[in-house]
Amino acid sequence: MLADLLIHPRLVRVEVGLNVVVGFKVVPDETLIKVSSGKLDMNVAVKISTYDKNAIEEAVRIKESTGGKAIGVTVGNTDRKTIREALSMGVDEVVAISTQYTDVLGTATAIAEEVRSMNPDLVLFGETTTDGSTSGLGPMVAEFWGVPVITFAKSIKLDGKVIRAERSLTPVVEIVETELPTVVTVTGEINSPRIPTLRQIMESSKKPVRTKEFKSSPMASLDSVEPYLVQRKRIVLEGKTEEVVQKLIEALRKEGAL
Amino acid sequence: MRALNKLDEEGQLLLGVVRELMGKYGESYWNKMDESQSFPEDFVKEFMKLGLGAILIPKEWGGGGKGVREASLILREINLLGGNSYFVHGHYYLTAMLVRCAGKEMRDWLFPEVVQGKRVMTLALTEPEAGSDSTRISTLAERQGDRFVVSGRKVFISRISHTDYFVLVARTKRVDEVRKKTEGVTLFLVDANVRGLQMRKIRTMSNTDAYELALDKVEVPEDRVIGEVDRGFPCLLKTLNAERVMIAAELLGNVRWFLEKSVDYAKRRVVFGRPIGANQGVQFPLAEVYARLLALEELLDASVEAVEGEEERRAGEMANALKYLSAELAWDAANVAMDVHGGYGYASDLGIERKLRETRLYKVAPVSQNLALSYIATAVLGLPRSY
Ligand SMILES: Cc1cc2nc3c(=O)[nH]c(=O)nc-3n(C[C@H](O)[C@H](O)[C@H](O)COP(=O)(O)OP(=O)(O)OC[C@H]3O[C@@H](n4cnc5c(N)ncnc54)[C@H](O)[C@@H]3O)c2cc1C
Repeated sequence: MLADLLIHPRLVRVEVGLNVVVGFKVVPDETLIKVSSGKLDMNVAVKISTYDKNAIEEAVRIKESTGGKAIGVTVGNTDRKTIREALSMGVDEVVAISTQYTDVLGTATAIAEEVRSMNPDLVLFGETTTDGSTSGLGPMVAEFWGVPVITFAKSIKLDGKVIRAERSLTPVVEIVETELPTVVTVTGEINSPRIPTLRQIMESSKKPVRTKEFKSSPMASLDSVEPYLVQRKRIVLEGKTEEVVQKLIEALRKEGAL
Repeated sequence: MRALNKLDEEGQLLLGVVRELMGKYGESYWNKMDESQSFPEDFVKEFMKLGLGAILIPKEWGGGGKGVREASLILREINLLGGNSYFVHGHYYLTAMLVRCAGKEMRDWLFPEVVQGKRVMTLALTEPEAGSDSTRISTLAERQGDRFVVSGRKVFISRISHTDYFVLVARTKRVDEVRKKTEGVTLFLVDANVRGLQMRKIRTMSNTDAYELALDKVEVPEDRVIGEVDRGFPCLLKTLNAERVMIAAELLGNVRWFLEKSVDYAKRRVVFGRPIGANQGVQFPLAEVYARLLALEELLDASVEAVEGEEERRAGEMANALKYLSAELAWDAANVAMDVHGGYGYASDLGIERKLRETRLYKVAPVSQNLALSYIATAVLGLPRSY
């Protein structure tokens, strides 16, 4: 056996790098959205949706450890600066698909089309977006592409073509295993996304961004976005601390908070 | 805000980096550093690691090739998110100085080091007998063969125990040997751990990491002269304009911070059955701070362009006017914030009194308010000098 390997060095098993596709969405920065005279002011700076950053980080780590490639896909708002942020974090290239308003199904159709043509080993998404919050995209893409899906992963381990993940399902953690290719959605616990450095920001300008258009007629339409306002009850409990604490507990019980 | 809107894509991304970094170093971190009078080493280390210390180094040496605009807005961002940019601003105005004045040889070895994260955070100019009157410095550098031997005393020298290099300003000709008192001054790039340098920390009103220095026959090789021997002063002056704009941007960051905290508190704090912000005695000072801030944020943009331009007098008048007005506004905003917060402003937890102390420094340093006005009075309006 050893002799075989020496004579035929090509028989040595080479670990090939994994190709990872990572979906990320450009969303309004929710920390900047304000309510003024009963309406939401959505005209704010955009950002990469929070957990999608975790997905990008995970994709880049896998790429770095296996020597493969990480390709970003974004659908909808294709803000250049935000795409460059993903590239600065270590994504090698981005496919930017612009659309008019589309629902999750439309987004899933567009991404599945890309995924099929790229045929990667792994597709990563954040567990949910900070605007739409459907958590539906990952499972839909997996369905269209015809591969298994693992949702809410708080850790993933790769061993050749086998992927093992811990699913964070409060209050339990489920450990699952499957074979690549697969789709995984990740939670915020999986990692701390890196902050890009000056050098990475500068180098990101040279990385390719392929722009495309996608036309779809959404199955569901977005009629309006209204602020969800919670009126404070403004109840002040006065008196000695010992007595007030008891009253507070009672009041919270009555509200169903305890 | 125009100064922000004119940032290019990379500039915007860099501000994003600063925001994420500040997300890790929030207000409680800065309060803690202040309380124990500690240098925020973790923050500065990460700042450098992210390459934020290399933004002003030209691209050909691997730096960001950015200018006063980006530096100013980064410093402003740190302050408006509750931090204290004092600990990194020196590195910005000194790298700006080196980009302007260092010779080819020095650029070639120093700039790659700065890109790797080496720090040039300190200017050693002020002396016990020479603050505002900086041409009166008496620290003397005497040539001995291929080196200079420097002796003298410096005071209020910031961050020197946490820098790799510092820029030392010394006389290579005594003031009575020159025709103009701005002649005979030389700038040296010195290793912070050089032999013959003694330092003693000065306890100050805010967390500043400032020292008194004694230089006893400190040896500096001649290739460590920045620019030309005897001709350091013009370089210093040019950099000081950039420094003033950066300091002003920091102060405007503080104004935003004071304003946001105060407006929020004025809406929430209920006294006599209504939010205190409903009282004109509370809301008018806040509105006034905001009005002045709007004007100065526009002046910041114009000043950035003036100091990056070639016209020197314009740069001087803009930088001094902006620094003067920003330091006044920041101090007023600090006091308005103290008033709005009542007793809680005086308590340390909210950080208001910390920021007030940090803000007060800039009515004295790097140039006192009087001296900024004196520049406008004499160099711009043509009035006779007091000195
Ligand atoms: C925390 C801190 C950090 C510092 N860091 C550094 C540093 O890193 N490097 C460095 O070199 N220096 C540093 N300084 C020094 C600072 O730049 C000086 O304190 C400042 O330039 C003023 O000099 P001075 O203190 O000697 O005041 P002086 O020059 O003695 O002035 C005292 C007062 O007199 C007024 N005055 C003087 N002359 C006139 C005039 N002709 N007309 C009207 N008013 C006048 C001034 O405005 C001032 O109010 C620092 C200072 C502090 C407090």
